[in-house]
Amino acid sequence: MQLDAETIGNAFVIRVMESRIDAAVAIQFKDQMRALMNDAPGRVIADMGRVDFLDSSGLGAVVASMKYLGPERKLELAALTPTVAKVFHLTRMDSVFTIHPDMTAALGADADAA
Amino acid sequence: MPSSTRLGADHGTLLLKLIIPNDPFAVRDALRKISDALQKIPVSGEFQSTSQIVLAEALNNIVEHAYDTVGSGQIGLVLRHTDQDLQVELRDQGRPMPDQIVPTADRPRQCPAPETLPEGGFGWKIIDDLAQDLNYRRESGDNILKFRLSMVQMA
Repeated sequence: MQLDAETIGNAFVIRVMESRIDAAVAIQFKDQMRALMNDAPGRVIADMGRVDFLDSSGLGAVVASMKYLGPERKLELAALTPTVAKVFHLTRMDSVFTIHPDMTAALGADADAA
Repeated sequence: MPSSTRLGADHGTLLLKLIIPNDPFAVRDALRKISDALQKIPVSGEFQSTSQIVLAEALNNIVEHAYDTVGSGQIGLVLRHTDQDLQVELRDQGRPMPDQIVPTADRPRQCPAPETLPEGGFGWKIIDDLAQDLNYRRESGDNILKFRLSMVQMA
């Protein structure tokens, strides 16, 4: 499981470097997201652009990561690929998360996010 | 009306048979084989996406719930296809479904508050939304799940 993280402006960006977030790696993903987000500032953006496939276990791990941040901090998602976007849509989770079409839009949304 | 209007579950051309070990990485491997087999029909990118999502949920449900992710169980998968649909049959020797029915009826329909968001239970909702003619039965200690995925353009 590879996750790269860096601070860009007021956002803590986590790049998910895996092609699949599925039942085989969901727990690992959740644990590593939590570890990375421990000292993250208020706004966390997960760049999902390299993730081709996410199943309901992977979705559960993303939801768990968001819940871990609590009410003061926020997990936003960017660059969902078509199959991943479909899973978010089918489960209505696309109305729960702020989802940006790409990272440029996510970082450009800085001002509005405050 | 010709009797073929009603597509029986066991009609169609055999596409793929797999015996899949009870393991999430084996499920991954099986999904890749399924995708490769479908590519030869061929099918649309949209159908590839739909079938991968549904089959991942159905197979992972068996690994996690029928087999509790432990033991050396196996899942038998049979795929058949016609011009119009892909017919899926999954067979395992794990625990029966609770109440011996597919748990699709009481799925949540609206978004709960973020702090009470579910971290699971999405699987059957996904299957129910994308698959047709979902049928589960218990037979001689086997769980048999059958469903159809339409290859005709979905809405």
